[in-house]
Formats: sequence, structure tokens, C-alpha cells
Amino acid sequence: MEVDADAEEILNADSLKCELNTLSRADGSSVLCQNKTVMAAAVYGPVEVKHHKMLIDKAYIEVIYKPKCGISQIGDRLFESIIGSICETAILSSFYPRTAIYLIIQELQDCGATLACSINSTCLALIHAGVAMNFLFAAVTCEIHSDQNQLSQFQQENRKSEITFVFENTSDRILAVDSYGEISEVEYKDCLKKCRNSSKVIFKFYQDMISKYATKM
Amino acid sequence: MEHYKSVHPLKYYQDYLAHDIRPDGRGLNKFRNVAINVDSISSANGSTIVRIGNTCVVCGIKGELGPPKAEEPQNGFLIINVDLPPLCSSQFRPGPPSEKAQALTAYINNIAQRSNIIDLKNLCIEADKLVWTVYCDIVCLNYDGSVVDACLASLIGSILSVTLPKVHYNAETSVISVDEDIPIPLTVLCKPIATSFAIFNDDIILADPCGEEESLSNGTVTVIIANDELHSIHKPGGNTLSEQQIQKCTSEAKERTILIYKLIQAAMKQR
Repeated sequence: MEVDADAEEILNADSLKCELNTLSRADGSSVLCQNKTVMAAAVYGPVEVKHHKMLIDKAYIEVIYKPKCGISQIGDRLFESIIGSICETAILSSFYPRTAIYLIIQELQDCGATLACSINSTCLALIHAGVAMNFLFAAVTCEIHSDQNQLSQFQQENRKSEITFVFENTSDRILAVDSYGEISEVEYKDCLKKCRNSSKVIFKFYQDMISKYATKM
Repeated sequence: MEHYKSVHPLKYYQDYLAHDIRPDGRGLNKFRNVAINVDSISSANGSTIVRIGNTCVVCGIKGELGPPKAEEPQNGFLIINVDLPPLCSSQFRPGPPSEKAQALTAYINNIAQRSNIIDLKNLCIEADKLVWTVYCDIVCLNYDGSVVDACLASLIGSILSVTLPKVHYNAETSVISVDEDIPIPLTVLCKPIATSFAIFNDDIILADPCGEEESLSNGTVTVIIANDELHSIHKPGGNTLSEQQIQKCTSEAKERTILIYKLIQAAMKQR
């Protein structure tokens, strides 16, 4: 996978750090550090499902997002619903009928782009758990600042808008988008191109992580 | 035909879609009729009812006076709450707000905040002492798809129609006097309007899906446009889309936003 110089602008491989198998009781777990944002994710499943949540043709997927302090609020519900529907598409849930897959995401440090970091750590935890998937996914957040230059991660005061893209690794189609704030068409295209290039960095990182841990797993 | 639909709803839909038509008679990119009624609730400071097909949403705005946050002494509050009561659909149960309602509330609050619908500084009466808290309560009466579109349109209609009484604050005696005779409208900076689409079988995109279409579809896309600029795209997972498909949704949403603006304006004149 070749990586454009453009990609470095948003995310470079050095800013990604990850450890798998951090939790011994979970079926899959990861801690991902993306720039300075840190997220831990755990996967439990496929496990037994409560009767009223059982789906006869596929697995029931539940995402729980825990903020670093306090109880979870409505913003976290929005995260859960986004991550939940991404996972429903990505996981081959028809492989596990009448079961449940629980994904628990714990925020450890928030320095911006928490959604992207939690999506990526979820993907790593799913890889580690060995859950059958249609494709892998990677999220990249891009912030547009008032002075036109773009940057990921750092939540700055002068940001005009931000956009998060989620890509899959089997085609160049877009799995999910979430954006806030005014974005012109030119900016949108520019962000999409940069984010797509950065997603290749992440997919490459996934590969490296798998080859590093595959011998131990 | 009725039995076919209940036994095999997805196949029933696919048979229609193969002929570029939907069971309710609409083309794939046709929107349902929209009706907007402004200032329908006289006891609220501002209100709007929006109907999109069978979907019906009411938004009421209430202003309350209170002290500001210590960190932001100049800013008032804009608090939006979306309620999806059991009344509107069988998928919602009585009790605490459902996950869907919470996610929708969070999303609309994010939009209001990041798109600057109103300047919170305009809600300030006396810095560090007294500000307006504007409560926007959005209640869904009939849940039949594209609820975000209806919620946001009703919110914008209500904010445009809201008037708050003139308030005097005496800094020395801390006495508040409210003059109901001088209604002051809010200055609206940005009017974001949402347009939803449903994804069917990878490459079919249905504009303005009804409830049934939403539940059978493989994901939805919501595009929010204000002043002919993109303000938000929300596609939470579901089937993947190509760049061109998203582009097409955006341009269709831009056209539809102009129509909704016209409807809100017409409703404002009629009240």
C-alpha cells in the first residue's frame, strides 16, 4: 500500500501506538493511542444473549461507550449509535445467529478526534477477538480551521468545522461520515482525499499490528 | 398483495424498486408533501408544527430567565430536547428516553452549537447575572421516517417565530422587570435544514424515506444544508456509498432546502 505525502499532514504512522491483549478476561481488547487521544476497547462475544434481545438470523451487537469521568451522557449515545451501526455492517453477524457481541469502549484521554480513535480501537479489538468481518474499517477526523489549513486531532479554538470519514479496506467507498460546521464543496473534496490517504496509513498499521501479535495469538 | 407484503416485506419493496417506483407511488428521488404551521401553540413563546407525509413533529419554545455559567458569563443557553414518546410509534416504550431519542437530541444539539443557529451572546441581559435560557422541546407525534428533517425544520420555524419579552435588570438592586408589551425576536444567524435518504441494496438511494423504508433499508444518510453550504453529513454506518452518490444526495438536498425555506417563509406570513 503506497502512502501519499498528503496523508502525513493529518496522521502519520508514528502518531499511532497500540497494544492488543491488554485485558485477560475479554475475548479481544486493544488500547489505541492516536496522537494524544487514547481509547481502550474490549470485545465480549459471541456470547449468550438475553431472550428479548435475541435475533434469530444474526448476532445482536451492543456498544457501550464510557467517558473518562462521570456518567455517560447523550453525546455518548450518539457515539454508540454511530459505532454500533458501523459494526453491524462490518461484522459478519449472520455467522453468529442467536448470540450477542458486546463492544465496550473506555475513553482514557481526550485530545480531540475521540470518535475516530474509538472506531479504530474497536476495529483492532474486533481483529484481536477474531470476530468474522466483512471488511476492516478505519476512521480519520479532519478539522478545518478558519485560516484554511487542515489538521487532525488537536482541538483548537479557531476550528471552523470538523469531519470524520470511515473507510473500509476492500473498496474505496465510504462507510460512514459525520461532520459538523460549514464545509464548502472544495474543502469537502480536499478533506475526503486527505482522509482517504490517511486511512491507508491506518490499514497499514492494522497489518503491522496483526503480524506483530499473530505469533502470540 | 397484502399478504405478500406482510410475509416478504423486503422482496415486496424490491419488486417495486426494480421498476423505479415506490409502493406509495413516489419515484425514487421524490419527496413527500411538507406542511408547516407556525405559532400554533399560543401559550409558548414560539412554536411550529411540521408534517412530512405522515411524519408529524411539534416544536415549542419557552424562555426562562436565570444566571449564566461562571465560565461563560456572557452566554445564554439554547437547550434542545427531542422526545419520541410511545404515542408516535410502536418501537418506543414508555419510560426514560430511548437510545434513538437520546442520539437524535445529541445530534440536533451538536448542529445547533456548531452551526451557530443563534448567537448565545444575544441571550445575555446582564453579564454574570441574568441570561435567557431558551428551551426548545421537540415532540414527535407520528414517526413515519425522516424525523430529523421534521425536527430541524420545526426547530428553525420556532426559532424564527419566537419572541421574548423585554427585560430590564437593575444592577444595583438586582430587581428584574419584564415588559411583556415589547416582544423581541431572536436574531437567527443560520438556518440549517436536514434532508434524509435511505440506502437500499447498495446502489438505490431513496429520498425522504417513510418509516417502513427506513426500517427495511441498509442505512440512512442525512445531509444538512444552510445558506446553500454543507453544514453536516451524518451517515452512521450502513451500506457503503461512493463519493458520487454522496455528492448526488448533497445536490438534491440543496434544492429541497430552498423549498423548505419558502414554506417556512410562507407560514411565517400567514400567522
